[in-house]
Amino acid sequence: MSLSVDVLLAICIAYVAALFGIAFIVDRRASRGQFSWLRSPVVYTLSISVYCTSWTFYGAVGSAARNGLEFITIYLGPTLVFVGWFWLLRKLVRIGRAHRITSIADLISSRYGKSPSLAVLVTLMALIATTPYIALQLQSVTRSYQAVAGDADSTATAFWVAAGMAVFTILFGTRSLDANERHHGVVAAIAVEAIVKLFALLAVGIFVVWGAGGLTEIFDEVPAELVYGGEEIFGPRWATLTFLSATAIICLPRQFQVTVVENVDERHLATASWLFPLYLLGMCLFIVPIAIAGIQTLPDGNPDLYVLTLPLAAGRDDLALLAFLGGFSSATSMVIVAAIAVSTMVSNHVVAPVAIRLMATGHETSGDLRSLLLTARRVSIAVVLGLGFLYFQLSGGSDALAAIGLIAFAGVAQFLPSLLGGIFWRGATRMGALVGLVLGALLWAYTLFLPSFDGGFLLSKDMIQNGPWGIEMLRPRALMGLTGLDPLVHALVWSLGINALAFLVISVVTESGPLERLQGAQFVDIFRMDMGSAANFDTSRASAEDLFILAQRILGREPARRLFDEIAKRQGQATGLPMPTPAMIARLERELAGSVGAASAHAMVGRVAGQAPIGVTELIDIADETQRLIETSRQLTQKSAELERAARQLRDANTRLTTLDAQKDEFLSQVSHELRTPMTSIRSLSELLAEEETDPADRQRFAGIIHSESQRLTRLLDEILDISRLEAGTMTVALEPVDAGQAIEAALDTVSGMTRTQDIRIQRPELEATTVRANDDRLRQVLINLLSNAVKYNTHPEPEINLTASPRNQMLEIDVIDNGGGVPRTEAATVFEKFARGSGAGTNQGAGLGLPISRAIMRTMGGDLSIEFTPENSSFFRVRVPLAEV
Amino acid sequence: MMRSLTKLMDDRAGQDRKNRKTRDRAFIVLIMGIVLLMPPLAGIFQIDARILGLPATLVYLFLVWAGLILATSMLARALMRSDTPPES
Repeated sequence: MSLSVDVLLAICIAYVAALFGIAFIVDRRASRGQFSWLRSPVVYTLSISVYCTSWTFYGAVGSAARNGLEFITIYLGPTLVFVGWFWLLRKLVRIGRAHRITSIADLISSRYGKSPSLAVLVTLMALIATTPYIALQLQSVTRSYQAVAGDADSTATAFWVAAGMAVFTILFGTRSLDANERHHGVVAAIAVEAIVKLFALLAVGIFVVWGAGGLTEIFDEVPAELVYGGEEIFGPRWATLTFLSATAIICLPRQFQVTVVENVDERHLATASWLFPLYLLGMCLFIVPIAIAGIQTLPDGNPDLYVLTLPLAAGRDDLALLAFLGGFSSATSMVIVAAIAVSTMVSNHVVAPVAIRLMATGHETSGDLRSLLLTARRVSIAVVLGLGFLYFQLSGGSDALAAIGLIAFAGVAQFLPSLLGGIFWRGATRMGALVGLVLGALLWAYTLFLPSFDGGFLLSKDMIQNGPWGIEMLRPRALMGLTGLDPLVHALVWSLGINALAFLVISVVTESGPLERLQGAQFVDIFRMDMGSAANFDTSRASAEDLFILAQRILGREPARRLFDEIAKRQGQATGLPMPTPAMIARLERELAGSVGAASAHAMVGRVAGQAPIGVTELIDIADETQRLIETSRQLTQKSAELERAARQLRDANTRLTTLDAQKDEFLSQVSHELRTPMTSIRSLSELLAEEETDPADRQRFAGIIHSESQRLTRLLDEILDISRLEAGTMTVALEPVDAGQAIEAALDTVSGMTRTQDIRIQRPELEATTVRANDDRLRQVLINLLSNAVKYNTHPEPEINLTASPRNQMLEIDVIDNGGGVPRTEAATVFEKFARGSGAGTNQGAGLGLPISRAIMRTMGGDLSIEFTPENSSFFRVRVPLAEV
Repeated sequence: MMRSLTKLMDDRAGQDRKNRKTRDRAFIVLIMGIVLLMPPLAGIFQIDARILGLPATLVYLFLVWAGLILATSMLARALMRSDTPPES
């Protein structure tokens, strides 16, 4: 106790001044757009650690000293919630961001049809649960102050702490009306405080452990009973406390504020999912050793102050001071955030509705609602902290306050059924939530809250003992004769049990209104929704001017202008106010909801846009569950069928491409092979020519061969060029009317040179003047090719070629039939392949490109070339060429 | 080109499968956490035994706790990626 009051006071003031400084600098940087580390997931995680109040900092050790390991449950519950972040917290954050939720009261009211009554109810309950909790923080600061500085005036200390926090919160917590706009200065200060309290607790823990000689030495000679705390420690109370703390991390207004409302990036949750449990683990690491050391060295001391008194007793004033600042940080950060959260609720759900009512009577344009609401928020911060101070005063700093942590948890746990039911169950109705909440709150107050005053408030000691009017069944701690339970478990079973039951039963028997169903669908199906699809106003009475005036009054002149410009641009208007379409009004309402809450925003817009808000048919389209499910599954089926089709097409294309690829490779190797043969003979013959001793006759012969081989090469290259152009479709063939008879005659003339040498009989077709549509040269080329093949490959002793021509189906069919045996059926399919030669073909007879080229030419001209078989199984070629239109 | 396209689609299907797997794992971690930290399992070490000189249950609770943190941190990134975030 050697620290003087003056020094302590100076340090306190310096610390608070530092917090103000940090908040101020950060706010200024943020207003200039410099966020850097402010938007990091680590800062987000640290801000969630407002969960660890002075009730943790001092109280955890006290709890460990009294009840053993039970204190851990308070941190295991949140750990489990964060481990399962993907299912609950992610949904809450997504909903919060999509609907611009400003508080837990706003979320519940918004889900159940933007109900103002629900909002007021939740606000009231949050206020009742938060006020004693704030008083608890003031008490712990006062007590720790007294422990360090000797007997100081507790009232004065508590008052100045409350006042200082009020100033801080008003300065940095009410910069803007929009609750979704992060309070950067506040968040930064809280992050710093989070580090201070963790560091302080770890420092005290390390000091205590190593002061005793080490971790194992602490536990030497300590009976396990003392560490564990009672035989029944892992019983119903263990499970209840874990459940309760898990509930609190979601339902406490301040936790909802930092986790959901102030979240700037959903991905931060992924980091917080393990970092926040790690933070809690760090806070808990040395609790048990400190408690044991406290019991052993200060058996008469207050366990709730061991963190502070252990270093003091060891004469370590510096460490005691650090511990004091840690506790101070825990208390102040909780008070700041709780005040912001509750004041937002009060101003949005209590003051704003009154203001709207006044707005109806007064001038539409007069009065800046924005500054009115900001003032309301500032006043409510002062009121909330004032109530906390008053509560602290009235309860006289009694020990009863220490129990208030769990009592507050149980109070806010009443939000759980409506909250979970609201985001996972479409069938939940406003009436169900309302009745459940009211019953839960009443039972909580009767079985837990009021008895905690021990006869000091409303319920007398006698009533708590024997029940009101001596009716045993109504004893607050053994309601309906339910005995044998821990008072906390008893209270929770009654309040939360009846709450949930009423919520479910009433929800099932009541009908939800249209807006409720719409909101319910949007909340439950948040991951399948695209926002802004909700058309919920009859637009006929809304005028853009009125809406603009309203927006200006809530958002401020400049932000309203920006919002309307943006909407107008999205509607495709260059200038002027946007059209008051249903989508535009829904968007505006959502923006306003970020400032005044969903219920108030709905009421305000409704007042301007007319009070017949919902088209039932639209609603059925949007919100009807079956309809939506059918639609979703239909879309899914369609999508998967589409995908399947695309996959099949891709597979086919792939196979085709692979085959083509292989064919191309084969083609290339064949081409090089074909080119190689003449090239080889040209090379070797030219070598012979170059030799001196070759006699002139041979030279002559060799030169002749070289000449014919190079001609063959040229022809081959021409053919390859032809076929690649034909196949690529780049060769254009000019079509003209051609006399078929003449073409056949000309082809026969060309081939006649060959036929004369081989003495072949040719039967010509009897053809009347028939005009076909073709390219004369190309048609002749095809016919010559076919005829020369028929001549070349004919091994019959009396070779004969029979040509017929007859029109059929707008085509002229020219058949080239020879008696040379033709092509066996097995080879029929391959004759049109490149470089294929009939099995009977000799070696020096062309590269095997003639038929594929001919077919390609015919197809380019709109005809075809095919191999056919007579009934006697001999093959012949059939040329089809389109008849010219007459 | 085509080959890479089919590969892409295969990857997509593989990704879906992987996402499902990640979610399953995360859920099992949660269930394990609840089972291991709740009675009756939480009390199985409630004996006067020491592990490395420390009370057995204390060590057990902190180990389970640390294990949960470790598992969650390993899954966090993959879980976040398995979800399509809303356009902001």
